[in-house]
Amino acid sequence: MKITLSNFSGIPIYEQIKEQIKSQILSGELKEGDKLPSLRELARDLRISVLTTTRVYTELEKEGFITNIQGRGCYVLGEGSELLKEHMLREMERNLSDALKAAKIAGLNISEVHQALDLMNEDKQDE
Amino acid sequence: MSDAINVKNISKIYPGFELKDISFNLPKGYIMGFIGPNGAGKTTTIKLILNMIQRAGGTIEVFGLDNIAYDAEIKEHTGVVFDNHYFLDEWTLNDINRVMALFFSNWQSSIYREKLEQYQLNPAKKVKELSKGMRLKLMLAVAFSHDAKLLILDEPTSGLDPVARDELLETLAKFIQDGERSVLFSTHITSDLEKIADYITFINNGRLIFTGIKDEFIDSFRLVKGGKEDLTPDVKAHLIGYREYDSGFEGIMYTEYATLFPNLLAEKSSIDNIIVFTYKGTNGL
Amino acid sequence: MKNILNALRFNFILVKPYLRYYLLGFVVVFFFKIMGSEIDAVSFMLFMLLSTHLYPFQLEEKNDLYRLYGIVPIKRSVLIFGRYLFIILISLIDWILAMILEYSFSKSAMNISDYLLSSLFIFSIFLILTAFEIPGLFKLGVIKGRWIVYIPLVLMFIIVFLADTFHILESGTNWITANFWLVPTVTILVLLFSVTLSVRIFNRKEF
Repeated sequence: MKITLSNFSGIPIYEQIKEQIKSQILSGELKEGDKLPSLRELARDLRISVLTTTRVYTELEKEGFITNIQGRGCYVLGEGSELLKEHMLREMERNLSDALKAAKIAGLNISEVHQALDLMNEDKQDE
Repeated sequence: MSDAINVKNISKIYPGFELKDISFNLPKGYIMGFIGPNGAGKTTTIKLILNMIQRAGGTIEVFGLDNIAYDAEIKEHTGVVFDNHYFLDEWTLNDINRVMALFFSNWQSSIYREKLEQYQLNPAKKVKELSKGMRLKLMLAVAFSHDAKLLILDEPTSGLDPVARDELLETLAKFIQDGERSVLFSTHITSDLEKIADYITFINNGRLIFTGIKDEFIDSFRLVKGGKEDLTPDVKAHLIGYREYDSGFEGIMYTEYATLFPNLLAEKSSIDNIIVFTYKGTNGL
Repeated sequence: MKNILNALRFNFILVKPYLRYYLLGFVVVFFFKIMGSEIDAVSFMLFMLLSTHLYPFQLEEKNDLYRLYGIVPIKRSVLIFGRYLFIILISLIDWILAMILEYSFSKSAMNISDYLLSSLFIFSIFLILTAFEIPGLFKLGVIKGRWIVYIPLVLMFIIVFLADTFHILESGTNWITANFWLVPTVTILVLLFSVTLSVRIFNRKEF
């Protein structure tokens, strides 16, 4: 697991860590079943407060990215996790709602939005 | 027992200085930074916790035990580091081993010798021959040799170079790894705490200003800046402390007040600035 | 009990830097004796001891060892007991050695029991003076406290002087010899009172 913290970005430390772990899980760098460092190990490595890492892991668990097995540690839940699917579904709905708002302001109708969506999907397939 | 230290409404009166109604608690397994300007009462508070001076009121519990009734039991498992060593100048590090073995029933000479080796301290050397950084390591070696569950440090890093300070932080982070041991760390070098402290207790002029989670502490204040014309009486009334200069002013305000003045630039403050401006504010500077 | 013995042992390590000064007195007396002086070894030694007793107090003050006392899990009263034991032990050793020294150099034939009695009397006086000195040292520190011992010392001189002036010195001495059990009794009582006072003072002390 790779974490790089910036003290000057203005983004709270716990958010930076959360986002970096999330993206590594989603990109597959962190695989299902991978064991994460303990709260205290992570705090010590990054030289931050244990309460901060606690908050990160608690929120990641709530959002379905990781699971905490008592006495064993925290493990990555793969993309197959139900909680994760639910979370990502909600995120997609949120983003779609934002997209529709923006489209309305730009004066686009719904079929134009569909077109844009298809184009984008093709591009993503190419990646 | 969930709190390493629990202090309620303690007071102490000296001619010219009064420590009043200080309360805070340090949950087991965490690091608390104890901050405030010089003379704020940090050392007094620590001495009260250690039962080295008598309190005028309130209660103090360490490991869930009253600190006067269970003085000996508590000290068996408490390691203390002061800003200067508390030994005889003429003693060798070996002498210290002999002395501590007399006083601590759980003293482990083997661990002490190991620690001396780890810190590269020569056991035959006299205390007066040690540099400041080595004295700090000596006190840590002593603290670790009698199974300390609580480490109390009073300004241990004043006079140390950044490398030594960094090593200390590393040591403290390792110390609390198992979740059973706790640290109370008083300092006026707050950049040390900005990183590893879990909790902060901030006192100024003998009064408690804040105690709680460090992230929340930093988040309750904003550093606000503006031009000279922005420094209205209303703004001044909401500022905890500020400084004026030719092109404007900057100061500290509680976050909820900062939102009342959207014309001012507000950003997250360093702990140092919070302390400095609070001090300026209370002293009419 | 074990703690008190440990506190006693601690005092030996405490005075480590001044150990040689404890022996200095002997060297001086030995020197005088060799030169043929009539000086009473016991009186001389004990008088020097009054100053030597300051060492543990001086050392702990100079190095602010009170912070050490504040950190260790030892009751303050135990530290006091250890200090008294240390002082009494050192005094005993010095006294016995001084008597041996005096005996080896004595020119006149000595009645052992008479000598022991008078020596014990001097030792008891010394212990009483020490009992005055110690609480003073705890309360006022070494610089001011060291003068406390002169109060009983001067008082004793005044008593002896007055006794001599009124010609009751000899009858007084005989009376003491006849009721000699009073001497150790009073000494022990004074010492006990001294310990109690020291414990109270030390318990109140702010480290």
